[in-house]
Amino acid sequence: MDDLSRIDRRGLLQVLGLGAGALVLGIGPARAQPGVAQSGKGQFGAILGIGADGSVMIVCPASEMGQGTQEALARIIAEELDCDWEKVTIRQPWADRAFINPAAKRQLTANSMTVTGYFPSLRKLGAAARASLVEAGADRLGVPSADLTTAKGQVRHAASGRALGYGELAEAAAALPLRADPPLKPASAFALIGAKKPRKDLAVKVTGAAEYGIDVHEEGMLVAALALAPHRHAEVTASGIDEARAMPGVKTVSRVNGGYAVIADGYWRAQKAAAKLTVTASASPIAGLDDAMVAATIAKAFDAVPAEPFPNIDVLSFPVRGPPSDPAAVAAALTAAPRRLEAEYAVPYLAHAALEPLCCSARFKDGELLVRGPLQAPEASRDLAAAIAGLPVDKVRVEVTFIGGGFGRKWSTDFVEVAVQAALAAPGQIVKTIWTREQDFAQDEFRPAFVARYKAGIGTDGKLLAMSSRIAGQSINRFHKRKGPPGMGDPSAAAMLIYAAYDFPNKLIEYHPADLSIPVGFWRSVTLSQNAFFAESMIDEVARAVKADPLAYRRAMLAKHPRALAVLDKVAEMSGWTGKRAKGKGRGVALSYADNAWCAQVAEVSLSGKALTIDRITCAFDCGLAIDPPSVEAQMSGGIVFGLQAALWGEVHFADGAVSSANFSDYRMAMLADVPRIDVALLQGSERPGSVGESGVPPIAPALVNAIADAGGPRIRRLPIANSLDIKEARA
Amino acid sequence: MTELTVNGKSRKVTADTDTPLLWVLREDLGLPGTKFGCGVGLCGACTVHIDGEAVRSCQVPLSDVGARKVTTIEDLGVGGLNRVQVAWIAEQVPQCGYCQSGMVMAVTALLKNNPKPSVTEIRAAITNICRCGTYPRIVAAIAKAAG
Repeated sequence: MDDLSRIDRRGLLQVLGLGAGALVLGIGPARAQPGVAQSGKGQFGAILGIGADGSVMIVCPASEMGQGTQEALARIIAEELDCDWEKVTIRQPWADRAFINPAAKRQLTANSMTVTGYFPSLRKLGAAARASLVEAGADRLGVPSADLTTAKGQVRHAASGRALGYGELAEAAAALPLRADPPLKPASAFALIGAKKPRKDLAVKVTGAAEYGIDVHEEGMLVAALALAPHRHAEVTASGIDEARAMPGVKTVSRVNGGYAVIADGYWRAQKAAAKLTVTASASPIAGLDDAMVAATIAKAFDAVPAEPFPNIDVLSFPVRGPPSDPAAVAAALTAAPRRLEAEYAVPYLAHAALEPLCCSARFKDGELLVRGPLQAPEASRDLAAAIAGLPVDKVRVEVTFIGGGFGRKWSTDFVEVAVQAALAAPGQIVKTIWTREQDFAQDEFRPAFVARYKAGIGTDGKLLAMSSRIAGQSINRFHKRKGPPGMGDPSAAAMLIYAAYDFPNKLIEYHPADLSIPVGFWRSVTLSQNAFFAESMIDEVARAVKADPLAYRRAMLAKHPRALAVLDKVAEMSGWTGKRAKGKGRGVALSYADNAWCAQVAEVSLSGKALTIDRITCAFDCGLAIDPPSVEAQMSGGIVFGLQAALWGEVHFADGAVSSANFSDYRMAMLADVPRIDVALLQGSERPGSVGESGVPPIAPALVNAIADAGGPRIRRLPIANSLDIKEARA
Repeated sequence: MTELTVNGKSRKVTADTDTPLLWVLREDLGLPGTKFGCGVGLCGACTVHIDGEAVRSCQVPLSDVGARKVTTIEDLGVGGLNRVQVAWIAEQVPQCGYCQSGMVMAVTALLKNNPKPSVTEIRAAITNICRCGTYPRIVAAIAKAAG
């Protein structure tokens, strides 16, 4: 990858006809360092190139980790470009401002905002390039542009039957200025967007050819294994360093954050040498910590840590509209309510456990730094790598590989920092640092544990009059020393603890940050990973307490959200919601929503004593315009399995000041036999695309516990479910 | 120097003889399609065939391979994708794809020994971990490959 031809920036600007800035947001030229693959003559900004042979090269500006982002973004461009899809190849990005997500203003792949963020500008890019090709074609054929049409990578003149391939026109077209406001296709003309066809990246993923971060290879490269303290901020010393240095193949042993890197000529030799090190930690921020202390600290936070104000906001009401919640009024409404219901729920720390363990490669040579790896945050990685190496940013190149599962973990950059530290200790060649599975668990940035305490006030008619919820747990922002939004608690802890979508008065959310220093971070669906469980369990409890049908009870509070009603009605139909339940059978429903996306799920279970069998899961999802429906469906069923694992078994343990969950033997993953039939229906309630990647995860945990209650089982208020019930193989 | 037969060819490697086959394949023989997931034989990302049987290569030291024939994912697609790979694409199984080399190897071995496996047999045989949760499509793809 590093031998691609370099582009002269001025030359590129001339070719593009671009002056100081890009005409279309997000499609400016790449910085003049790594090469855009030059398939031929025409380059339309950093992202799109068309070769003389008609081949189309698209650099996907976002990172591909299984969510299908490459396919989706490339389809958006190709749809408007009218090129031959068979001639499109897609490559991975590098860190470059030309690739920023226009919504995030940064180059990162997270927060389910890739398609939503890039959609408008990539449509314009495809359409602007098409317009240039038409103009070049008109010039070549000597006819007005208006007489020309495009299809399958050709500019066609119907009147004369003449046609020119895009490859023939690419050079001339690329010399024309890109139009800022090209005509866009109507949605009714979409052929690629919405097509149910296999993704382009499947073939390399069934033949072993896809290059992941762990596969970065170069002749003469080195591999680093790690010996780490239980916490990255601990002070460390080690014995056995000389012994490790004397092991065969070992080049050096060097300090990295939280421990030591042992750098050798191969993984196994590095591992064997790293095992010679005994790391002693002092001043560890989690010294002596165990499960009981974690639980006690969170419980204590309710009384010891003042509640941070949390305005009643979620994705439906951001930025904040209207007055903040009035705690006194909510308290009065709760007191005055004829009926009250209180419940406390809890969720544990969760690991990301991507199957590709943390890994990253770097090479420091001749005053330049190359970083290659599975990165959700290439731009932040570049800034960080430059700072560590003491280099200007333009001497640091960061390239993204396929990511073997990210789920938020590879959005962080702690592992990039360690890999760069290792590379600086052995300049001259690539050093690939690979965490063991045990280290991947121990050094995770976990989804924090939370406890939520709800109070509901209910009228004589069964309707909600008020609800308050206090949540305690670690703040992700605080651990990373990031400033949250001013004047409110950390949204990743408290947002959507009570859904804004449910239409009832007097809501109050309060957050008590717990004083813990366990590394925490974003875990697929973030806030909703805990708060959908809390909120949708509580609503269900209220509905059952007033003897209402839980789905109908939700419906009655959602009249202002027809798309919520539509997914609930659809999932009711799919699951046969109103049908009779046999004894020991239960159905549970849950709802969640994100940016322009609504998801309802129903879990069907059988309960015999403590033995739980999951019979079926149905899901109705509306993300508006689905660019690649089979991938959206896969994100939903995959998200359900991801959430199912957490609901049933997910729980990270701590003992003696360290993470005690070491490998898959004590962090039970979902396997084939654990997964029942999953039916997913896609609805389209909007012309715009919505959030997909995380949307499938949140509803399954509450749907499951609600189903267990429905089956006559206990109301499970603490996850994982395996601590309460005996989980059997799913129904086949 | 250790000699072994991989993908039909005799290969010589200088790796330490206690090196797991996984790392010999990945680093000494340039066959990175076989993946590292857990190092303790639990996840199946490192599944290869040894004399036609699915084996987790992180648990096989180089010294134990001997004259047995090792086949990796890189050899399956040669001369046309096999029916499991074809089904995997048709059913659009892979998401991140990291586990899928191992999945394809495990399912290919299963179908060779048992062309029409029952659900119970599939569940017993396919214990590889997929963190993306592609299992529903794996089940559909196995059914398609089994014909």
